[in-house]
Amino acid sequence: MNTRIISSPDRLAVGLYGLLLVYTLNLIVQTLDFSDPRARLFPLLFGVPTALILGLLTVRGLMPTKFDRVLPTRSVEEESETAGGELGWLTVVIFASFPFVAYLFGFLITVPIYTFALTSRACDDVRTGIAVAVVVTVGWWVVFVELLNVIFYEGILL
Amino acid sequence: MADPVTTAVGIVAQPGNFFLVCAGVLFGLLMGVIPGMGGVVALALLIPLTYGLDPLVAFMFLAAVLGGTNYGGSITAILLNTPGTATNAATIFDGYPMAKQGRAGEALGASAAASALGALLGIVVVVALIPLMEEIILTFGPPQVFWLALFGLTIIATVVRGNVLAGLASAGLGMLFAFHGFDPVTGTPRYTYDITYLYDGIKLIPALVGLFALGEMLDLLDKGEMIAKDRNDDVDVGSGRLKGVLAVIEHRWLFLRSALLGTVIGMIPGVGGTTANYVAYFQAEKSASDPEAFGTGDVRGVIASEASNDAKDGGGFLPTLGLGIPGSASMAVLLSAFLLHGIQPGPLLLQNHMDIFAVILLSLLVSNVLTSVIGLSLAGQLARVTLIPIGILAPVVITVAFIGVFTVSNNIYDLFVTLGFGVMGLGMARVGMSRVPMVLGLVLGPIAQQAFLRSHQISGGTYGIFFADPMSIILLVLTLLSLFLPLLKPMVMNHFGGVRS
Repeated sequence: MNTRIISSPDRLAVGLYGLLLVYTLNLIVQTLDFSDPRARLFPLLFGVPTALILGLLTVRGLMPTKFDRVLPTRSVEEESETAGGELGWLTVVIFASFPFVAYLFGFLITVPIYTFALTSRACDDVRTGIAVAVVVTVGWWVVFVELLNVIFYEGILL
Repeated sequence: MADPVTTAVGIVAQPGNFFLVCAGVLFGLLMGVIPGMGGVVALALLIPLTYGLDPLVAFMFLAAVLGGTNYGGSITAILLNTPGTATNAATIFDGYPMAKQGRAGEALGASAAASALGALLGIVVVVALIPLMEEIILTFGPPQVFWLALFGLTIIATVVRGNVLAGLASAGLGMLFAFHGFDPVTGTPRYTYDITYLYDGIKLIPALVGLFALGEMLDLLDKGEMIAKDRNDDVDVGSGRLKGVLAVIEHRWLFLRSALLGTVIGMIPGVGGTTANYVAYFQAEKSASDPEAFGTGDVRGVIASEASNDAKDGGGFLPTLGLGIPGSASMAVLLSAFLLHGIQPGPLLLQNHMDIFAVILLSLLVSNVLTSVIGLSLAGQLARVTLIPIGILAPVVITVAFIGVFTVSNNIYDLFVTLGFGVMGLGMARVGMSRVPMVLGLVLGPIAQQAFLRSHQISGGTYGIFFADPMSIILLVLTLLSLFLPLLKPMVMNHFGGVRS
């Protein structure tokens, strides 16, 4: 099989489509075990074509030159719009931490710390992070806790 | 429609509710001004927060926000050469040159008047079409609802921006996500992995907020771009606003054509607002006796673009509320709000909840007028909001998004769902896979399944009921056309292009 050197956007596309394909195939396999045929019908009706399309997209990502003439492709405009690269790994980790930190320590700890960490990282400025964290925390407390009387999760560790 | 209108007026006119409309307008203006935000993100952020409100009040507020974002985007388009929302893109062509010539006030005045009057016209047309819509809806039973849901999925998946096949895959995935949890008909647990949280399935609001709000913010952080292409700390609006307003009256036939065009385009499922303002702009240019004036600071360009942009929302509500098929991405998000408040979108919405329809249209009308007045007065100040760095804006929005999701069900695990869909949403945005079909799959999946199984029961286990009447056949043909036409078109064009050469 001839594959050209895959550029970054195509690697991402192959990775994403491949992952979704694996997930869809997993769902299809589980569907076959459902006892009631009515419960199997719709998941199979949509799952199988979805898996086929995802398979096609994955293969297209690996061998784009073979498919570009016959399958709709992204326009040049869309290619440039999807360019990126400013997001560092640390920023992604911080971004993803909110549910975990909230689960462990509750919202009262998470909201200020998370906002501080993400803002400081994104702006590369600790003082800005502190200022934004204070404003967001106070705003959250006033609006959600005091005015709306929402009871927030307190964390399993505290 | 007299009683729903009376109800709607009574609700919107209450001081507390009117204050909410104003707040929605201001929030919408702010979100519209900031590129990367706009109607979709604004609605995705606010929908969880409206959970505790009365449904009529909630939809009134959301419609006001939607009205606000439209004009907000035109402010930065005119003053900073950066459209706040994609639906204001064509406004740049003449709006920014007008600002550079010192006629920003005139451009903003024309935009404000065209927006408000365009929205009014769109709503009038929709109201006039309601009796026709009601006639059509009376023919809808479970088989027709099934085909309609399928048509809605395929048309959206193939019309939205990005790869067509990816759009279809997105819709299919949305359906599969919707099938998680206990099957409501058979009681079979599907894809629960013995996790208690998943017995109720994947909830729509956490997925929605993750896909749009979180995905969008991550995307902005990743691009790390400046908000405005032409930053100018002295944003000078200047005078001439009244001249701009009067220009709409002077070019009334152009305005009418553009607004009607926007309304019709808004009614076509999936086409959305981005198309409306471009089509209206280019039709204005082509039909002018001096097309070379367009693009150099001609107020007609601003009028055409903005009139159609705001008229499209009125038109978009007809398929969204009447048939359950969204006219645009923000309408798809709005459909989710219906489900959150326990209202099933689809053909029966007009029959059973005409009061909601009336409240939404009236709120949209009031908000568009308020938006134009407030926006015109505060244009210069609002434009300065774009000076806020993305590094500050994105963390605030992300934090508010997580908080908002939690307030809906007070379930900490919703945050994990939001995170997962947020990461997936970023990946989808990167590879050109539209997220709108996925949301539609989440919304329409259960509807389609229930309609199918109900039809199957009615027919005593046979499938002939799905092909038994003209409406079903029409919807089936439309579904097949929407599915295969975009895929066949490039193959046909390549073949004939090869033959000719």
